[in-house]
Amino acid sequence: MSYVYAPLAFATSFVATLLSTPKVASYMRGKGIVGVDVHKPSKPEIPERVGLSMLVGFIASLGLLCLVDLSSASTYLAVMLSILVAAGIGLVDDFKDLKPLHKVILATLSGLPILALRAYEPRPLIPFVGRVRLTIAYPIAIPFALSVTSNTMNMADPVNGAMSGSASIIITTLVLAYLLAGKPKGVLAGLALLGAVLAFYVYNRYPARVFSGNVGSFAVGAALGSLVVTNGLEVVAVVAMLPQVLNSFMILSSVGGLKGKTSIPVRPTRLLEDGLIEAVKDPRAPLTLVRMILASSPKREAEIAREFLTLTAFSSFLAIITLFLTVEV
Amino acid sequence: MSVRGTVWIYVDIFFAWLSMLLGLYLIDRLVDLAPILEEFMSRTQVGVVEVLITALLFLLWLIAWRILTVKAFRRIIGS
Repeated sequence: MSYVYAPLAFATSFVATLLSTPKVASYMRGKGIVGVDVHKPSKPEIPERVGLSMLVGFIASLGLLCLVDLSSASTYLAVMLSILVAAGIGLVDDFKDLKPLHKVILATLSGLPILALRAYEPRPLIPFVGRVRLTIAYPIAIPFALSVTSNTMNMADPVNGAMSGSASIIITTLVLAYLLAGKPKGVLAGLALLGAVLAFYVYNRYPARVFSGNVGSFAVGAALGSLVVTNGLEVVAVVAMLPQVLNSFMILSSVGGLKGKTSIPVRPTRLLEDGLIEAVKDPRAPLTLVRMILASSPKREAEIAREFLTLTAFSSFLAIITLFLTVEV
Repeated sequence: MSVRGTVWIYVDIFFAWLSMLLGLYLIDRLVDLAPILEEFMSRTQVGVVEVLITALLFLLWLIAWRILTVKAFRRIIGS
């Protein structure tokens, strides 16, 4: 296997998503599927569930890799099917507004294609410790890992471009890590995912012209999870995702478990008349990463989005250091 | 500039990373339960117990991280 297909993997997903996003957005607007951008004083209506366009990119690129790299086809297929299952759950959530516990349980299903195709290596590489043999525990953990990444990315989409931008940074870090670790399969699969997410970011960054919807954030979360489970470097990925882990863990612990938006009495932030967003001081408000960013002073949405991405870039830098602390690299 | 007011989050993430690595280093260097556990259990059972211990330690690390983060947040937002 060589890296000769790397530009093809990236370009296919990037172009497919770049071209399909305006069409999906136009379709959604035509159907009246729009969401209000609550962090802007003018409250514009933005097409929702446009994250579907990322699926076009994922499928086009991973499908192509299945054809040109037959020896690793089961891995690419497992990643693609995991993403599709997660996207399906996200789409159901978009239509039915699932309960948080149901989302967590249903998202475990996205790990099943990886198990069915045996597209995993149950010997994770841990810094200082080295390779650990987890023949029994690893496959048991896969569905939960996929559920965690899907729901974590779903919770990490509070402002324009935060989810797609931070996912782009994390996937870039993983691609670099797989390149340094000599894992060409991981590099190719990572580039196939990166192209789509980066193209979507072009439309989703501040000021957003499209919203991904749960379908998009679940798909991106499963893409990250399945990429890591099928190619390794689990600890590197956890470190790269520390801001997102911090966000979801703080939300869960501050509201006392899995609760829907309606059962949370106080919103974490408030839009001021001058367009600035401030953190709510009420102790009953959930502790989100955005509320932490706003703790010292109110900020504009663009500043919050930039801070979100800078934090992810910082943790990604730590992730690369972590890679060098693992043995066999 | 916004970064000045958010330095504490970078420090928080840095300490989380550092403590995670320090924990892994200490586990590797100081704690090797396998020879003791293998007296009573099979190799597979030892593996399962080690995974459970790791999961428990990860949970404790998360709780410690939460306590520190909430304290820091309250200090910042309260001032």
